[in-house]
Amino acid sequence: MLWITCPTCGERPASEFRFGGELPHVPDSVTDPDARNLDWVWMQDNVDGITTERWFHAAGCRRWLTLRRDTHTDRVA
Amino acid sequence: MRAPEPLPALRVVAAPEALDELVVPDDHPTLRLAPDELLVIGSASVQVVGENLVVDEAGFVGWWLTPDEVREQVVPHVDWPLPTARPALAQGLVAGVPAKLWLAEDRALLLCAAAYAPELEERL
Amino acid sequence: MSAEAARFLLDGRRLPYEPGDTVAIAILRSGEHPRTGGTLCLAGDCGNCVAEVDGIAYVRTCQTPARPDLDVRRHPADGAPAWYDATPDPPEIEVRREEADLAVIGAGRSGTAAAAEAKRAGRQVTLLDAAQGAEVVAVYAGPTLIVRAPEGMLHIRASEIVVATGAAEIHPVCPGSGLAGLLTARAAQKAHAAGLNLGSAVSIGPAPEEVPCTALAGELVRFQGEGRVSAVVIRQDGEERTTSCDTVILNLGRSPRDILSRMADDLPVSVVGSAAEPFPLPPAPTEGIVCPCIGTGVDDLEGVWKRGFNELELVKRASLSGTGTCQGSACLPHVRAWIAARSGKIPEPFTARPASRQITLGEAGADVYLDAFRRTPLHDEHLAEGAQMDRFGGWWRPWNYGDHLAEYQAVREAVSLGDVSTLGKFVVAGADAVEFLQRLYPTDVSTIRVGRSRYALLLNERGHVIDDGMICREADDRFVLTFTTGGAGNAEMWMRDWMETWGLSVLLLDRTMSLAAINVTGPRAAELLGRVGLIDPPRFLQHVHSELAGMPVHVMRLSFTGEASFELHHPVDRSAELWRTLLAEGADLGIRPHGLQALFALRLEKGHVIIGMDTEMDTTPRRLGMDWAVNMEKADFIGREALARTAALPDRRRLVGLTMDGAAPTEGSPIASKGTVIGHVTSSFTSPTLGHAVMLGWLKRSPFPNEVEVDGRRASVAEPPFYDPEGLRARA
Repeated sequence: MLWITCPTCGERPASEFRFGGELPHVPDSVTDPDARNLDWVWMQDNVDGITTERWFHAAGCRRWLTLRRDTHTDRVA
Repeated sequence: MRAPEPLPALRVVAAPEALDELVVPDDHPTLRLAPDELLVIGSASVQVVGENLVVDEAGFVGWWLTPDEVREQVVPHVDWPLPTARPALAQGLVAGVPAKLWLAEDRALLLCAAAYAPELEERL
Repeated sequence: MSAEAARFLLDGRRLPYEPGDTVAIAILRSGEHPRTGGTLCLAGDCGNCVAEVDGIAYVRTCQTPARPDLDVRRHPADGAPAWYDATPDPPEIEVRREEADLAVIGAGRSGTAAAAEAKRAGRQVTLLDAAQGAEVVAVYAGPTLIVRAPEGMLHIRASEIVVATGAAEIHPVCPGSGLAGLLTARAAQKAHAAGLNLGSAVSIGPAPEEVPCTALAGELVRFQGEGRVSAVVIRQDGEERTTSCDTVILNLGRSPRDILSRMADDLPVSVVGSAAEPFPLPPAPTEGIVCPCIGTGVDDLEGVWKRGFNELELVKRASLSGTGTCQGSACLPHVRAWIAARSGKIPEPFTARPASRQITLGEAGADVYLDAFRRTPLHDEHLAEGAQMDRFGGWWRPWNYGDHLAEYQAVREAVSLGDVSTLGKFVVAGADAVEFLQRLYPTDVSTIRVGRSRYALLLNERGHVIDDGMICREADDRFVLTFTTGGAGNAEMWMRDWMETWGLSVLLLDRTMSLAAINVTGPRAAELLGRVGLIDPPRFLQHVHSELAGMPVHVMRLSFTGEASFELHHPVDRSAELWRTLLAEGADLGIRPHGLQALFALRLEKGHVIIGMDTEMDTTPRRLGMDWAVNMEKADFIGREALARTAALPDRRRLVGLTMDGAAPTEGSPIASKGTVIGHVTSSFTSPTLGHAVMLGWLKRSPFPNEVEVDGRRASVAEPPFYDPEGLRARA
């Protein structure tokens, strides 16, 4: 089971969180529309290894956190 | 579990620094739900510095418990480690229901949104 | 004990057994086989003795002590055992949780030694052995062991795990391997010790100690017999020789019983004893059944190999060998040997998945909590009104109160109450509140005046509609937002994510479960509200804070039903009081509450979409015909870029209104044009007011026809709203 440490609430099983996907290195379309490339919006890197991800602690503080996870071992790095 | 009691409260949203400095009367359990959000149990009045949202909160109900009751009735339904400091707030799934546990030296408050209370009451 | 031998039920008849017998031994004692045949290991490894025991299928009878009250039914020779729709009175299964320092699985020689050594080193050891009632069926991260014990399930979180489960015996693969009368060497010893008469027995490989039999030298070719083996054919020096017999004992070697460690990649799990021994593989099989659980033959392996599945994990998935009852205990050595002969390289054993044994759904789900569905503060009021409740978007909601058409009529002709407490309700405030909402919504939020509200779509960066709701401006820097019941959680995540990204000075407060909301709707709604203290009701798309029935209420005038509607947002702890007051005050107006079934029909007549029901994952405002809700002239917002780039492209999808004579077709019905399916119906209702069916549905092929067929009948594309197109009633 994947355990995630929420900076507000502490160590919790992943089932308390909602997955928010990779933290995309996407220029913000609203604040920087000219730099935005549609590929960045549509394409995910889908790395076999370390990714930077967003998780939402739905059952706790209801705030986002950013973590690095190894998709190969499914462990938080 | 017995029926929960209503928990009139004050809900405060403000910048984290403003909440850090907020003074709340001692007898009111103060639950820091998030860096920018606070729940003060009971009817209190607070002065918040800077931009803020303060509303009367009627959406929570809860159970006052002894430390023994927490150990016997709540802990078996919690998959994660409880904090050891006192007072402390723990938030997460209790018996599969989103709930909060405020732990003081001599007493504890288990609370959840009223919308979830019947489920939690049944499962404990 | 009485003189009469103890008995249990086997396929409905009473079978005697001796003290100490397992069910499998007792069946063998009667001259039969626990299944139809197949080599027995009597050690719990293979799946050749499984039967239904007391209503539970796939139970290893060799591990089940015979008892007088057992009801054993053999599985059919072909096909699956009986499926029960519901087990009467499923037993409540307790879960015990334990922490352990070192957990040793297997109390044989190597396990006992490992435990003793760890104890000497001062460690705390938990020793688990299936024969002593602690059967480990899974290893998860943690590492956590899932153990089946007579008193229930045991979940052990250990710092370290040692697997000392020994070795299993190799099964034969050749024609006739499904016959009865075949035993592994250790099974033969057990059977002999239990006093079973093996008849004239021969052994392939060395004869097991103390079992009277003749050892045959040579290579196993096939078994012969009808139902039970009557002869075995071996090959020696190129010549086949047939030997008559009643029992064949197979002493073909061993393979590590390491399934639990193969489940634990990357975990602190070590393997000791013969479970860790690199036993030689058996010769590559050439003919016969490799996987007795599934029935995979050597020919099946060849078939999948030819199709390009040239790797053990792929061969397993394509041929299903190793996916049955014994999870590869019987077949894995043979499949590895077969692949080695093909490819010249011995493949590593395949990864094992929990569980290593059949466990019941009750055992798997013991102590697992179902999703908690929320109840509005009016839950008990609905039940008292005879509501049929159902789950929607994470909440229990009234579907109807017994007569959805009467509820519908109450809205159209009188006044009705709807519980909309489940709507997402958020307060947004702060110096940058307007800037935040301008970026969030495709509507120009700056033009919403204080005291006014506006319907808005919520788009993602791809320009797809993810939710909708109202924006109510309460002050220059303070807004109340509503979202759909099912979308509220996502909307909150969406807003908090963007708050962080943009770093604006915005405060967000979730009031979804703090405020209840009652929609008072119908031509007499204003009249009813006047009776509870709303003297100056807001006009369409206005909202006011007022005191109603002695409590603070935020009144929002809008319309989803098509009639004049007032949403009353108020504290949850006083909701039942408000509900009862409204019902009592409106009694002479013909008031009655309406459920979702009526609401869905009412809004459909108005052509209002329900996000998630009428929309899809990639629905743009254009596809909904809702470009009016998007302001491309205002400052930038999420989704604008995508909409701008796709605006000039042809679009082959459109959600349209449809009308049809007679009764409405089922939602989901295909929409056809000239016999070709071009879309489907998302919402449908037979309108008593209009006297015909109204629908929303997708057309996914352009040019969009004006006439289509639904349910074999003619339907016409018609621009919604179907009811009160000028919207006079909502504004009345």
